[in-house]
Amino acid sequence: MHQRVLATAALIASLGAGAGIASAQDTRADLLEQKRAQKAGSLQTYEPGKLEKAVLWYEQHDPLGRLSPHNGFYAQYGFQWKPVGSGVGVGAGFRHDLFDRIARVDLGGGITFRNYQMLQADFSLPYLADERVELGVHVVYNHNPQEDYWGLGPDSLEDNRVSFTADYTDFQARAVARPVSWIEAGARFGKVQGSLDSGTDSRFPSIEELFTDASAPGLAEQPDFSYGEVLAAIDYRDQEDNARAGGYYAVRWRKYNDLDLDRYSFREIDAHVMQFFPIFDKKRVIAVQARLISTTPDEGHVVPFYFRPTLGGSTSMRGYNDYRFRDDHVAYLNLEYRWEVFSGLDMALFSDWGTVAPTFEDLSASNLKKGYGIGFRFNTYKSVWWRIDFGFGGDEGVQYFFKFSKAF
Amino acid sequence: MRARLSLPAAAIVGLVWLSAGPGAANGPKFYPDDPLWRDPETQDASAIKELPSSAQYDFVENSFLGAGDETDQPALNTNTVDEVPDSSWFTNRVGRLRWTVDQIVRGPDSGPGPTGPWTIVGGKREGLSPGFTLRDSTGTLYFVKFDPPSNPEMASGAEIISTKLFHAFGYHVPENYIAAIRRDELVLTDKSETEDEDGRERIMRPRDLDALLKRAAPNGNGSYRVLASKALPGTPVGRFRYYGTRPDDPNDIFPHEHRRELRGMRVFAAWLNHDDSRSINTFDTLVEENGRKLVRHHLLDFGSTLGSGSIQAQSTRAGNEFLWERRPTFITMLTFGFYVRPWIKVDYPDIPAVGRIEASYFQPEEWKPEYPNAAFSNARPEDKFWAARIIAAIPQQAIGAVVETARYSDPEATRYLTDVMLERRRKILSAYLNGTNPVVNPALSASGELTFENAAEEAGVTTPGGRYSIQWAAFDNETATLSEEGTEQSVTTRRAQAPSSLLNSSRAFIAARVRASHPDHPGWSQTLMLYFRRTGGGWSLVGLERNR
Repeated sequence: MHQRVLATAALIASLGAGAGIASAQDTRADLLEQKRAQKAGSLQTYEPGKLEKAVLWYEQHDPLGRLSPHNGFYAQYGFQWKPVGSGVGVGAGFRHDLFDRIARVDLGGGITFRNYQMLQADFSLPYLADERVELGVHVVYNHNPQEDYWGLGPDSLEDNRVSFTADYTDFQARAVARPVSWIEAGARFGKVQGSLDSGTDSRFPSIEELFTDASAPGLAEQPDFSYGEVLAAIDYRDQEDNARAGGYYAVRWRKYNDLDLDRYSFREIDAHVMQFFPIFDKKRVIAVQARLISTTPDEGHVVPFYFRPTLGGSTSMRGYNDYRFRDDHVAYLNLEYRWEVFSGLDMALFSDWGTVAPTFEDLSASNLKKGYGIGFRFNTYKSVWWRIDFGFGGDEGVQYFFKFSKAF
Repeated sequence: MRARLSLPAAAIVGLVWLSAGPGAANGPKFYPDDPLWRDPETQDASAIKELPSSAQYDFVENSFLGAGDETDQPALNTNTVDEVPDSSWFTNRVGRLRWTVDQIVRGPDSGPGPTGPWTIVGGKREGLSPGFTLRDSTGTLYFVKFDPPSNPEMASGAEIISTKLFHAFGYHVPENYIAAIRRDELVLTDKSETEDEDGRERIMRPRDLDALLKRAAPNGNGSYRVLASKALPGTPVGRFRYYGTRPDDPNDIFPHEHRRELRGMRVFAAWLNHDDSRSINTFDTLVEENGRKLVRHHLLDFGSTLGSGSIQAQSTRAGNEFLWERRPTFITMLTFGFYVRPWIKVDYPDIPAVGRIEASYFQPEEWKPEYPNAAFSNARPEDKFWAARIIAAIPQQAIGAVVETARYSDPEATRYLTDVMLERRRKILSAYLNGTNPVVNPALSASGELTFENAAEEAGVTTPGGRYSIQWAAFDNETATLSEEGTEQSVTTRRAQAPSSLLNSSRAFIAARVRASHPDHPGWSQTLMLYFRRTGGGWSLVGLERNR
């Protein structure tokens, strides 16, 4: 039959199109049948254009998913434990569920263009009690060769920027429970073995050129530490990585014990609050973040400078560099007005206030650092995948941050 | 040689016209078999290949690349009386056949629906809503979806209502049923499959089943309400697009953006807030009919209609703005968000089973799908008029009866949704039945009396005050020329008398140009051309051209 259709079409074609064809038809049905017979004689396979081909290929092969599977060898942009400001980096490793999805192992590493390095091994039981309880242990080695330091306190000088290398290995055991989706509680225990060395950032002096053990406590010697931590959090944000409503309240308490020198033991408490006030069906959001991190040395001890909390950078004080201010106590407040430009982009006007101080009592408004700025957040409903924030008002020039993550 | 989607269409568009249009210039305007009520799709399509499609590319192409032919021209697949013949795309139902309430409520259903126990064929890990593929106790294959925990009954209710109404309009849709399943009625076999986190198929285990059910809204009695969609007959061959033609389907000769039923679908979509009316929610299957293979075109997945957004209440943007629109985007950007799009401020009642839909702010002409749709964009007043007449043919009580089939446990949900649908319907009829010449159902008696009806008046969406002017003409079918006879008649009733000189001649065709006027409806003044053919002792309508 198909051959007959082709022959008919060929015959029509030989007679020529136009008046002869139309007038040769006795009925409308004949006319339409003839047109369809014509098409039947020249059927073609659909050929997508270049862009469509590329999109189809991407969807079919899912290259990013294949690069970073849930189970198997993986590669990815960035890596876990990658410090803020360490530059563009990649990670790779192997991870897999074990024993019929009872346990999980993750072995991997990462490196950045600034030669930050990380190696880690993690073993966990993440699916206990219907995925409400996770037990796990890990070992993480970090080599951070270009860490920044300006000195302690809110008055540290911009010109005193130096770099240092921090090498440390963290051995940790953890137990975290999420009895309901919005509550998390847990404990972590571990040991940190670390050492400091000269910085490798050629733009700035190394730390020992400007600072001593007196102005950078812990610079001369670095003991091993054991630590224990408890944490509790209430999290009822609508989306963890692009919250437009809800809140997050967390408290973490950690105790570090100097295992070698009896000089650097301390306690740290970290109180963290985020609240998101939606307006107009979440098309506008007032977002607030407040955080207090306070360290207290044991009697006769000091907190090593490299463990002291910092202020500055893309998630705390955007008018200043990452880690710009450092001391025993840090407090900051961020206020953002976010508005949806279209479904793939939010913009934000923000204002940041914060300070650092050697004692809790010295955390006062008189030492406040202030900043403000504007941000562009390219997002999906669930997450921010690219953020550009411009920070002003920090009297150290305009700061800009390109990040593949949310501000808070 | 291979081809892009629209190239053959471009070659054909200038040659083919189902009604009496430019393509007939070299032959008679009307053929003996006009008007056609069945599009003769006579070619065998068994050589067709599954068409690849990408939802992402569809968005990009329609939003930024200008998909489809935007030429302002009448729909190409209407018959000579401006109606859509039955085809693999469309079947005349409530509009032409005046279906009863019972027929509308039954919809496409061929039986009472599925019954347990259910044997799981496969699980669906990803996608908007959780679901399964399973066979019921009779072995029939169903695709099953759950309601989101935040909005029990919402997605399934919207889907069942829209399925029945789109079926009544005339489209091919799957049989969708609301059913209740219990965990202990779900049977896993060694052939039940699911995908792991990396998309690899593996045997489905009880734990996978429990994980899927966690994402679903449970009923109070331990069962889960589901939407069970019966597998469509035939071999899947991809999705259709709202523009171009398939180069491998010999029967597909009318560019989709110029098909009346796809242009007019904009009106149905606006009524039911089917903002997801895009290629991804269509489905072509190869079926056997009269000994040859044909492609049948379906609409499916109505989970994002009415107030439902499938996995949550419908977004306030849905129906009001495309996903990407330059002007509001830049205004919002430059005003730091202090310009607030007006639709953002619309209030919706808190009825979880309904989601978000309303009728006060709704304006039919302003309604938009997720992103531009070439067929919708090409819809002309007569296309919208055609669709509005079909909606008008649905009795008011049928709307309430169809909403009842959603089986909302909250009576307020049923009441509110019915009211909203009725009000949106009223706005649609008012906008589109008055948007062009509303004269319908013309008839010429043997004695030469012309009678007709007014669709806007019949639907109660206009006030009295209409006038009509009629100019009679002799019509030569071979040359398609009109010769006016007498002077233009002006009437306020819906009847007029043809000149006896026309009736007494031996002419086979008579034409009448009808204009209507109403102080409130400038669209009425569009020209309506009527053509009557002498048949036996009387006259039959052979041509109707609205707005040409």
